[in-house]
Amino acid sequence: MFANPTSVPVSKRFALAMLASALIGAGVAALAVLQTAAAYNLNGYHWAYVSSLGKCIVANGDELTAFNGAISDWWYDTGGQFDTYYNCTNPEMEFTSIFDPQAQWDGYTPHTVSGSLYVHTDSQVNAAFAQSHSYSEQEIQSVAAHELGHALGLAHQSGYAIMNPYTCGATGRFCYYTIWVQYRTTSMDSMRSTSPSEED
Amino acid sequence: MSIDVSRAARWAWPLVVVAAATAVLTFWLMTGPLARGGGSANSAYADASWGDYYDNIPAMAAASDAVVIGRVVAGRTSVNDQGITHTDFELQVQRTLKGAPTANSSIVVYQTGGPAVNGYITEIEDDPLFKKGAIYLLFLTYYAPKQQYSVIGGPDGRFVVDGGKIEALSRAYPGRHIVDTGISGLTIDQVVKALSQPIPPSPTPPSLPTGSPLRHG
Repeated sequence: MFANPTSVPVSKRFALAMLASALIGAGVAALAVLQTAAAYNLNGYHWAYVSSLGKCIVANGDELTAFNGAISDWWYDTGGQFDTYYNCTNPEMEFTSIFDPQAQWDGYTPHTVSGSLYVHTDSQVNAAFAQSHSYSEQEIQSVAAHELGHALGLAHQSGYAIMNPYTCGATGRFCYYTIWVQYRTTSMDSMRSTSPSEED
Repeated sequence: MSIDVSRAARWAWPLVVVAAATAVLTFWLMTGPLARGGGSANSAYADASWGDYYDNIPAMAAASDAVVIGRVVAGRTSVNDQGITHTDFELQVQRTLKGAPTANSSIVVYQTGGPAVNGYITEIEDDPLFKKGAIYLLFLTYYAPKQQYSVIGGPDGRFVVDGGKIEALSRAYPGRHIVDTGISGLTIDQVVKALSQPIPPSPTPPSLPTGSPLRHG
């Protein structure tokens, strides 16, 4: 279009370059939003730091194995960005096996927050539901991994994902798909949202 | 053909500003406070994993001990021996579609969460607390030791009844991340008819995403 581009003064070329850069930046940002929407849902809260969270596990047997396995999975899938150490005196994250025969959930994570920051989370596996439904070790671990996903800032989503809210039934994440869902992308995105550089 | 470059530059600067502002605004919307929950200090929120998913009324009816329509008249919140905050809601039964409860009787429905225990309101994101005065269609399982009921399938087993039609919680609470049957707009008569229908076959599992690295078989 330009008849003689080389005649454009440097300052003007700079302006045009700025324009192009800004438009590309806006486009990339818009694509990131679309990508975000497609990849996972955030529950609106995050940790100030995820690399050194104190954890306390109060469980035995299958539930203890499930929590340790879930923590290990998330550590692995985030390339070590999410990391914990044992601290049962004042833990940020608790992992508890409870027995509530009336609740129809197999996993539950109440979290205390201040503003948009997590203060404390307590990921629980309901041993009563797991027992009455004859859960396998892998099913229990899928529940533990799902709850830890909540504790890391993820909300529910439908379809092929560890954050599908249902364990079994017509399209549950475990009994329907009969496999574990690899959640590397989801967890990495979650970590990005909880990086210390974005601390409130 | 030639272009007046100095004029183009005069156009360019405002566009640069607008585009840059768009990029900054987009980034802020993704990461700023509006992208988060914005909850108040010392609030307690909760998420859950539900044991069973149902995608149709006949399957829910078959899995239920009782199916009723009723109005919530009261609720009593406490903490059980497992440290779980829960509320026993009293439901005035208006119509029984299945099971033992009789019309005009009261039943107690157990729900995790509740208002203001130890200064915290606890509510599961996709299982909003029952509202006093609201009318619900409920698919229930019975817990004999306490003679109480619980809703099956979390958000699946509860529908808001409004104007004689049912509405799934995902429709009634569009601002929340609720994944449920999505069944809405049916009249009560249509629900009654559906209760006795044969259970449709489960959907065929999808093929695995290409390249999905599975670690557990």
